[in-house]
Amino acid sequence: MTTTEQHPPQPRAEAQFEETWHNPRGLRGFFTSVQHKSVGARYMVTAFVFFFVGGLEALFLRVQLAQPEQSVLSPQAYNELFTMHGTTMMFLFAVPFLEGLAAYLLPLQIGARDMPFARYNVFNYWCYLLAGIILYSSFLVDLVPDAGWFAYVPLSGAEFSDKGMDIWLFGLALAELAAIGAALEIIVAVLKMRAPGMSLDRMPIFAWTMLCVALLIIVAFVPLLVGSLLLELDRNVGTAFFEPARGGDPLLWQHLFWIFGHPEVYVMFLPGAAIISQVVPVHSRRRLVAYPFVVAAVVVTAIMSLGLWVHHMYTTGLPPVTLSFFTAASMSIAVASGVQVVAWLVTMWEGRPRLTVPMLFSLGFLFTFVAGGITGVMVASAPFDAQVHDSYFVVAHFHYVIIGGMLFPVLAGLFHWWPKMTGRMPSHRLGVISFWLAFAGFHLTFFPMHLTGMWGMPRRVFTYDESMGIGFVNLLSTVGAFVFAAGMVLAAATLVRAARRGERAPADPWQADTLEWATASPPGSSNFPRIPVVSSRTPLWNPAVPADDPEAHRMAAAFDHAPTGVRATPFTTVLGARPDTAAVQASPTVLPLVPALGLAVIAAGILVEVTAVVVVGAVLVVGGLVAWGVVNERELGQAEAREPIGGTYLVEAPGPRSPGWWGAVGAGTVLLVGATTLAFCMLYLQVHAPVWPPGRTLDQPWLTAATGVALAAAVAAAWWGSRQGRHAHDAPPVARAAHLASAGLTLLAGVAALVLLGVTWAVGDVDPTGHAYGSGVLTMLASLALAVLMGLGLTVAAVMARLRHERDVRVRLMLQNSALLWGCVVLVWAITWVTTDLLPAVIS
Amino acid sequence: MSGARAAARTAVGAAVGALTVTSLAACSGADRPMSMFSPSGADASRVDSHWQMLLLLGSVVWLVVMGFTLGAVLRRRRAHREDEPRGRGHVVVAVGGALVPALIITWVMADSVLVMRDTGGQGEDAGTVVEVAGHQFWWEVRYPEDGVVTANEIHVPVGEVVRLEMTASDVIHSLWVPQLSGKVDLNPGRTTVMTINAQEPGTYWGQCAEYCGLQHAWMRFVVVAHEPEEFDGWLEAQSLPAEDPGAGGEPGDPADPDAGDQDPQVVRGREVFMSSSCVYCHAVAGTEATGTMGPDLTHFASRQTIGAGVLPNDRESLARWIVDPQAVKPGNAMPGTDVAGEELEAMLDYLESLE
Repeated sequence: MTTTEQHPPQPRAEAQFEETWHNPRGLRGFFTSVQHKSVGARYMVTAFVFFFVGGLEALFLRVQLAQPEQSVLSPQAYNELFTMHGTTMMFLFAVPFLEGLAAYLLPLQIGARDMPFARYNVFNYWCYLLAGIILYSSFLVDLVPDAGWFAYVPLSGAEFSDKGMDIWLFGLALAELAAIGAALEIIVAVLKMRAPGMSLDRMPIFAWTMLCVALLIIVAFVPLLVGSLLLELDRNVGTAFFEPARGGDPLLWQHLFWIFGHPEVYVMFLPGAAIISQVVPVHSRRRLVAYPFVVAAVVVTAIMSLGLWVHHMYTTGLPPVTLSFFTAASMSIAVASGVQVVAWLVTMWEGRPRLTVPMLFSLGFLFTFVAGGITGVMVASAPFDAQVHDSYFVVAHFHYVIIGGMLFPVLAGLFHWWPKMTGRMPSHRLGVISFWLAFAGFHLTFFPMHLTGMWGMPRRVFTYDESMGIGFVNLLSTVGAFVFAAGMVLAAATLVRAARRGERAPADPWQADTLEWATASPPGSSNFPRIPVVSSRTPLWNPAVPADDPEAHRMAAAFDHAPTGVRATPFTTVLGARPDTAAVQASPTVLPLVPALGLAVIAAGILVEVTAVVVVGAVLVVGGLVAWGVVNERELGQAEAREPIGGTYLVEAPGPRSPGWWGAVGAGTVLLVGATTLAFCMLYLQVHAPVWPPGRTLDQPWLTAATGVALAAAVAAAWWGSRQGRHAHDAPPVARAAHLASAGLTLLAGVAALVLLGVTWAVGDVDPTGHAYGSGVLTMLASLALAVLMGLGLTVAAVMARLRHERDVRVRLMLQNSALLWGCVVLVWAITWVTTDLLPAVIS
Repeated sequence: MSGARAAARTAVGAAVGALTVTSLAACSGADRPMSMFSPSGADASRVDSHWQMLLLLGSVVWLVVMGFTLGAVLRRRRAHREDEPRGRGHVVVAVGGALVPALIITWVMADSVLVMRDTGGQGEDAGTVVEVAGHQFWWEVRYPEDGVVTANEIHVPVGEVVRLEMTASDVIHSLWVPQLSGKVDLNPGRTTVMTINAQEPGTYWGQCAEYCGLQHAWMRFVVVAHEPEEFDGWLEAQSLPAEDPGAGGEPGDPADPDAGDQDPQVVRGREVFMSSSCVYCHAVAGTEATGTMGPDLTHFASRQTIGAGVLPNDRESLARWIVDPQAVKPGNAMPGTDVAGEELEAMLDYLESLE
């Protein structure tokens, strides 16, 4: 890396630059700050609070199980606590923590000043926080969910579970929404916001991994979101998706849950492994060996993890061919992990490891994760799994994999990056003690569980018979759990103490290799007043390597303490990170909180069954979004937000050269994954149902075709509008009129489609509660309507832009983005038609 | 000094002793009625040998990786630059990280497929077919060919393949007898199949393995494996209706020579039972009790446990169960009764006579 040595900028400009990037502090800062470091830190702190709550729940469980036939907890309390333990650790700790770490670290590692959509980033945080509050409010009203974190139907259905299940579903949905949003942020950041020169093959492994993980989240979390929607409909509207007597199937839930649930394991483990790939080289003073293999292993793991979910369902009574296939697939993924493990080993072997606290946790990770991986291969074998499935052997296995593969790396990462985040060094001595406590406590807790399971103890039992002879191993686990908890508390205390009065940390205390260590500890608000230029994979270890692209230095110079009046960061090309354009970044505001709060209020309104509350929530959502949009357009209309940065780097460029396009593509992708999931559900039910549908299909060819035509018209109108005024010689008033006309036509077509959908439903006369087919038709039409509403929203934003901007380019971009989204809506329409009419007609 | 050394020796001795005891305990498993380490069924034995291979292979892999880790941390080396290219690390990664694991995985996979072929049979030509229905929180067991209905006990002949056809009435359950076979789920609305092939006569404990609600922990059962002729005898005895304790006649009635043999307490108990709410949920074949919500009680006294393994089937436990089942197993479907005193004693006599 070479920092551009240009003329020092005027001190006044520098001060103005700092002023622009200044984030409010204190309570006001908590509600208004949108910059990635504040958001990331909040994510991590909130997640750790939930981690300790979930850990406390686990301690209660362990006390109850310490001896046979105890009654420290009632069966009800036990079932509630194990449900909340799993839910908390998965949805409120592991995933949000890693997303918080990514939000904090990624921009620093890739040399950017913020995440691409800073306000959306904080909106996701609010959704996550509110999800946690909703889930835990269940304790206040004594309706704690008790159907397990996997919530298998029918146990989680209306007949067997009380309203606690609805609380669980709403909390879950909000947390998933946040996770999907965070994933979109990560994808755009990694692909488009890398410092000039950081081509894909120079990207830190952490960035590679978070890119793969984010893509995985989009594909895997949307099905769970759809699944929770369907279950909520079954519970409260009376649809029949999971009801065998009416064409549904309880196994559909298991498929949806594990299509999410298995990738979820890798959403936790891969970032853990990535932290190891950052920590081990630095603390071994050796660059990561076989970087391309490690990247390939991460990519392969992410892709393969989507095809393994059935190994959670080996005992549901599947045919042997299916079992063999998923056994082979599940075992093969171990090879990809093998590559990573050996790469770390060789890196240490070739390097000179220092036994720092991060390194100790990395070694603890290897010791533990390799064991968990081996038991993973064991349980991938269908016949062996038939024995240990849903026994404590599996509990042991996945705690080895998740605590070993995610928590230990996270602690390694926290001790590694703490000096960067807080500017202070954590105590080595206390760190070492906390490691040994955690390590010994962990193995004392979970190693005996292998035996407990093989001696016949099933999971999720609140007690066990004395004659089973498993009291001693359970007692060991309970003692271990307290030692482990002591280690965790000490680790947290060590970090908190360091943040307050630790030794001051230099910018680069570990002599590390990646960009985050090139800036101050803790980094200033803008991260990099001077944008770094990258010319190798380890920019801080070989700073003398000349940049291969002279343009990179020009871009760095243009962004040196600049622009001053508006927040902006370089936007570079996907493959080579070549200088391209500039991305304007959002300033502090409280607005994203409003729609997030609105969603929570809607959930609360449905839970207490008061329509007025739901309406208030909806008003908050719509009002919040409109206000948010208005403020966005006002800021982008500022004089400085229009000028090319340094006279070269366009602020709003057409197509993929500006962030908005990526946002529209991301939203469209989420829509399509959702519609495809619904189609999968319908097809699955159709294949397994004796008759599908029992009566006639929706069968409204004219109305369906008319809807399609209206949607196609929306695409055409928006697309046409986006092309008006693109030439310098176009007369501005004409172009403006064309934009307004195009947006007007698009809105008209969209509203027409919405009306047609309503008419289709009314005329179609399909009973949504009589049979799963009708349930599916209702859900798919409603989802299509929701997609249309999204298209309308984006088009309204384009109109807003037209009314507030003098410049044409912003409006053209907004229309282009609308056209993209409308295109996705057309695809959703096609998927809907195929599923509701074509397939039942063809396969019958 | 010597005291410290002695203390250290004692500590080491105690640690070694504890480890030995633990590992011995791990190996024996004889006193653990649900231990996979003492298989008695064809499937469980086959999986046990698979497990031993997995354990051996896994341990070797783990030890090798840990050996290299230790070596990497401890070995001495010269100073060098961090980014200096050297060694053939990528070759080691390709061979040690991909090729070798791939070979091991292929071996494990092949063995797994072989085990899969030998286990998990559907028992299409099984001599005995048993229908099992999972309920919150007990097991209904039927032998359709012989008209036998029982609960929380599956009786099988030794050395024969028994086919279980399973479904659930409410939520998902899973049937697991570790010493005999792996588990298979019981799903509402569909039938799943598994086989049991017990090699030794005896009683094998099983338990529900899929979380099914409040009393998932106390949804236990036993599989009793009999010698074939003994099994036939059991089946025949179970297929008879309950003995009639002198219905239709007073003791000494010449038209009903059996009547006089009956204990009047049993007769009285039968009256109490038949006039109580018990009959809405329980059936006793050959009587007017035909409820189907709860376990069939025709041969209740021949069973080993009450409440799906929560209590042993003795008089005292039975009294506790009848009076307040919600105190014993909160959340089970059976309401408490106000039968007490002489009536309760009589009812106990009656139930204990249902052999």
